[in-house]
Amino acid sequence: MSFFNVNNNCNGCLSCVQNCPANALSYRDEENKRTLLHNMSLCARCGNCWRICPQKAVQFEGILNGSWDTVTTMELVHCMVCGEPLYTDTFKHALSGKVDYEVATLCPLHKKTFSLDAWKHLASDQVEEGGNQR
Amino acid sequence: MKMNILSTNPRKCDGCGDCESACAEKHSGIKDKSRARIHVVGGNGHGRLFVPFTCRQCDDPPCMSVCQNSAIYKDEVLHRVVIDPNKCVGCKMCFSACPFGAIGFDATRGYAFKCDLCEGDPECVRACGKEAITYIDGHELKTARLNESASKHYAILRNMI
Repeated sequence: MSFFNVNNNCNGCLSCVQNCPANALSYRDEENKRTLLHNMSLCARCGNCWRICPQKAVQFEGILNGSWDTVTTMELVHCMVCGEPLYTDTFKHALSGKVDYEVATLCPLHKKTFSLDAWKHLASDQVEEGGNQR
Repeated sequence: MKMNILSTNPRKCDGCGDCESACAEKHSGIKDKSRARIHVVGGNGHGRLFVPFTCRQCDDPPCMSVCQNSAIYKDEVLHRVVIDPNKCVGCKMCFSACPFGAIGFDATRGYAFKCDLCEGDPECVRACGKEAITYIDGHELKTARLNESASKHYAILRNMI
């Protein structure tokens, strides 16, 4: 996707190239063709090209109002009790590989309530309301 | 060798949450319980059973084995597992690996945090008015009873999964 665009008013005068403080604009003259080049990694988004262009040919809006690009999409793993999104399947695989057992897909709260359920068996007198404890 | 551990007793805990507030205030300056390193779970459908959960300072900590940046190490002097916040990059591996949900995550600063035993003087112990949390020499514990309890606990957990 190109962020830096020029419209048909561009006449290849190269004033944008001359005035770019980040050297993000360049050009190539080959035989009977002049090509304008832009490098997004160098671009500081200062807007100088857009301000300086005598032909009002630089379309800078795309750089300022760029949309989100999808980088990658993975399978999501949820807490098996409440369904809260936890991490990706790849993350879980890495995690289980490092501890050498299958990590239970539980959120921090349900990891605790899981242990709490075990405690309920051990302290069953306390679970019943009105028990004789204390 | 003296080796103190944080011991919690759910039979004495009444779920007041004083330990959580004290912990959060000591470590972050505010009584925000989400910033605490100890959490009391229970009540609501669990009757009067409340269990304070915090880091068990495992002998072979899963959090330490999964850390991608070697930011977690064992402090043999206080027998605790420590996260170096300067090395932590916030990948949440430890947070997800801890079987007890004892690791917290500071989304603002972007790093994981856990119980550090307050450098050997735990604030939660002082805050608990019911003596449900004690900081005692592990060698004084009745290990036979502990083992029995742990194996029961484990058997129950195995049946639940």
